[in-house]
Amino acid sequence: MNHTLIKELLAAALILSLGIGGLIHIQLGAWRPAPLVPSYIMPQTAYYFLIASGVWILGAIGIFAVRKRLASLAPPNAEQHDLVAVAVSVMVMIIGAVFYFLSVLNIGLVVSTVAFNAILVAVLAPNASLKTLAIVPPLVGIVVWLLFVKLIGMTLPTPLLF
Amino acid sequence: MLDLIIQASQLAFHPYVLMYVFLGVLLGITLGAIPGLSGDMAIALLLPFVFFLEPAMAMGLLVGIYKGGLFGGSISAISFGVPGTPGAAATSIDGYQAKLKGKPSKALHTALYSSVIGDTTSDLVLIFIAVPLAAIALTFGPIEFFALYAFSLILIAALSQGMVAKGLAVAAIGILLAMIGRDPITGAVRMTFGIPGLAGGLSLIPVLIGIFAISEVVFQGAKLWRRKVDKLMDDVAEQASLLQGYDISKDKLTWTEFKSTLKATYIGAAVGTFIGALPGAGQSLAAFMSYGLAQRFSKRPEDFGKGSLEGIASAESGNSATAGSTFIPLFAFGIPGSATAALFGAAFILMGMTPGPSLLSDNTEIIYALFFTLIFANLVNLVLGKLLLPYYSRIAMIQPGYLIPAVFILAIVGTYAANNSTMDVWVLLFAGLLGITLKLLSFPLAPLVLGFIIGPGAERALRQSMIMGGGDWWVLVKSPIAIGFYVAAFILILLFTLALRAKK
Amino acid sequence: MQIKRAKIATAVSTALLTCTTALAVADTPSLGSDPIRIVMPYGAGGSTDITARIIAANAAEHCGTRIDVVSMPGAGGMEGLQFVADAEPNGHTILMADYSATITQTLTEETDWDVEDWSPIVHLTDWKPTVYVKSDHEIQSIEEWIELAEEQPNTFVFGHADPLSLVHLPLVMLEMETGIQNVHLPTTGGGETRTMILGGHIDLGMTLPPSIVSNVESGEVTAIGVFADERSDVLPDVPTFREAGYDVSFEAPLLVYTYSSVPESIQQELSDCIMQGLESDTAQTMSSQASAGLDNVQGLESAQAIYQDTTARVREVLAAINED
Repeated sequence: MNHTLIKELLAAALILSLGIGGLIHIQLGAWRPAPLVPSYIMPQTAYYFLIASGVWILGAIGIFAVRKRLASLAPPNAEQHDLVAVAVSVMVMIIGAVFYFLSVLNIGLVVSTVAFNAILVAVLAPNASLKTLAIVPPLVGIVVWLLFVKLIGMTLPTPLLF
Repeated sequence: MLDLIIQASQLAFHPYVLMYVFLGVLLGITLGAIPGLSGDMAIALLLPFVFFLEPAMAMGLLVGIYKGGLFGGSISAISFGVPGTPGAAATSIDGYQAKLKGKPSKALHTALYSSVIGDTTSDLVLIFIAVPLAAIALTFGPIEFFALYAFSLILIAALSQGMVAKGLAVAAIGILLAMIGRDPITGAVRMTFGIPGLAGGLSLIPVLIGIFAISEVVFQGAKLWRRKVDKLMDDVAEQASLLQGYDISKDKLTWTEFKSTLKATYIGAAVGTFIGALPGAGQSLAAFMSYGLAQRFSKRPEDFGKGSLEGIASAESGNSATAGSTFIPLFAFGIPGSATAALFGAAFILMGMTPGPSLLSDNTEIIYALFFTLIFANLVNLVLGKLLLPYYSRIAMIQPGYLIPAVFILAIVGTYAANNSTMDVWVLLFAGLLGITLKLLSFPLAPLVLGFIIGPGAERALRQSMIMGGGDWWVLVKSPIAIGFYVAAFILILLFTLALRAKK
Repeated sequence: MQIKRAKIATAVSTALLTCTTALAVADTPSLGSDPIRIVMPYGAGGSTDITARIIAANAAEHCGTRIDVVSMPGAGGMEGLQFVADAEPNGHTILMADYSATITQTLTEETDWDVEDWSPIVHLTDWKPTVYVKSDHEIQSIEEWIELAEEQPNTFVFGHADPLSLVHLPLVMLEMETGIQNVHLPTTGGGETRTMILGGHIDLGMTLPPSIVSNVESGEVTAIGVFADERSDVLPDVPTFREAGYDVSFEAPLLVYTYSSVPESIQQELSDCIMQGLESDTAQTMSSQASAGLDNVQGLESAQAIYQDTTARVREVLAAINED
């Protein structure tokens, strides 16, 4: 089992389950009746396409497996990803962003921005030092404040802090 | 007509507008040169500000960023072999080789000139064909529009090189994302997973920024973290040592060399303009197609891939020649043919102009001013590019460790500010996760965004046609224009398949 | 060296982004603490937006603080309503909307509030839904429409915006009154309806008068009738359906609301200062320039009366639709 094969199988599984799950939802869901064509016509078509693509990918894997040319399954220009690093990055950035935005709404834009930027720089910047950590995040905070509060007057709940 | 041209040029050549064009090109080249960032992202981030600017100024800024970004991508493609934008991928093949052979300046200048020539060609086509097209546009009712949408969707998926099945699948996912919210015919809320905030559907900006920018930024973050953990040596030091003993005076593009690239540039301009006008085909495809064609017609095809200036010229010209023609479907039908066109469409709406058949007739002056700005921005691109080429390759190496976090925060706050919507931020992060997952499974992302953009229109057109036709499916082929689209789609797919076969 | 580079990076982006925006946006005044926010559950740039900006520009001095207009089109406008409902009940967050957001959607969808939870404080204007056709269409008047539609039911395609919106309910009421039947075609809004009419793809459409005035004047389309008690100011030659003998009129009031938890004294205060602002000469000039129709603005009592009246009528129509 090489990486490409696992990737392709996962891709096929993902879109097949989406397609089949969707068709079940069309059967069971409460769709408001529409004149002349059912209101789920478009999603239904999309689900059919998903299932067809999934079968197509599986078929391609099968054919390549029979011909013993699985290595050439990889699409052109495919990148090899560093899964551990991506997982760390998702944790820090995406999960971090959820907390960041919650704190923007509840604590305050500038404080949260400086803190989140400091965390990101500390975790990600290869050459971060205490000096840069003292300079860069406050600068980003000031830029964000100038741009979004001073200039475009973004609407936010009244902040607890600044 | 003369009056109109005078008024439009007064709008377009107002000092402030000119200043915004300069600023835009500067920003675009800078961002385009930084791997992972593109002019599109800058445009998306600046969208909220558009509302506060005079239309001519906003257009100048956005057009500048767009054009600068198209060229900027080639700077890092040539200097480091890392395409700054997806469209510059083909440029990096020969560009990086040329640089390794000690000819970075020749390569960069070839890229700049071919980019400007391709772009200008495309703008002229837009200016002279968009007008008659707008007149034809009224003949497009739901039936014709559905045929057009179907045509584009089929084409988008079919053009995903080597990944047609995956292209179709993500286009379908894009359509499904667009179905979330209110049913356009019955008004019923559907596919919202019971979340009331989704009743109005997903907005374009968070989906666009999430799928393209957030996923890319997170991948960049992953690379940074890996470098930090492994304590890798800074790339900059290596790059600097490579250029030691480099004499820029021996690396000037001569007139003979420039002339030798012209044929490739023209091929790129033609192919890029044509592909750019097709909704959804995109810059990378245009660049690769013109690269392939130029190789076939070149007198020295064996040099391609080894630092051929012709190779650079064809790829870069093909990439940039999509710039003007990508607006043709937007102006004529309100259909964004590319992510950039979608962003410009959003900018038009924010400025109170509706993209589509009436865009030109309702806003003649400002659109003509935009035409002037499109051409003028090419000149600015040429001048600024020429002045700044030596410096930009260095700026492209700004520590991403500081840049990526700042960009990420700007994307989040900017998305919220665009609509003052908390839901949009959650959608942004979700779209980012989706983009990451799909990238990990090597799905192409462009068909998803185009499916998302085209989905609601296609659904509405289909169901409107059915209502007008009394439920008879034959209504869909009762229009000659519609039949034309279906036939064209069939022929194009046939041609592309044959071309691919021939290549193998 | 690295610090320097980082500094340059930040400085460059700051400078660029600041320059690009500073010029254009320097005109936001800051008068003092706690500005009033008018939340508008529609996209920026529409006619509601323009009206809201006229209020903001003129009522600020009378209300004693700065007024901001906030566009929240998310979730079909529901996000805007939610924001106002969740805000502190001190009268600093108010809503401006027509009845589809506060009445129709509240009655047809699941929401956190009831129709009564919205307290209208100012009645700005009444929009008059207008039916129009292409000028070379066989239908050129209300009478011809009814007559032809009776002869050939379900042949004429009628384009309207969202189902149950203020340019759809009057059509439903007319059909109930006369018994005619048309093919109802939902569109994305006035723009799409107009394109389809001009291209000859559909027969009839409904919109608000200001958006078709220029097409009517250029002779491209004919406005055949108005669903209102009186004719529209901008289309004075177009008869009402009442005049043609069909008792259907459904003007759409544009109202300013507070959430009902705001104390009544504050509601009254807000109502008064907005009224004063809109009665000023500047406000009237701006209104006529933008065809906003703010020449007969009514205060709290009138607003509440028309709100209750509109609610009753929407309930009636919805009940009749559900019987079918």
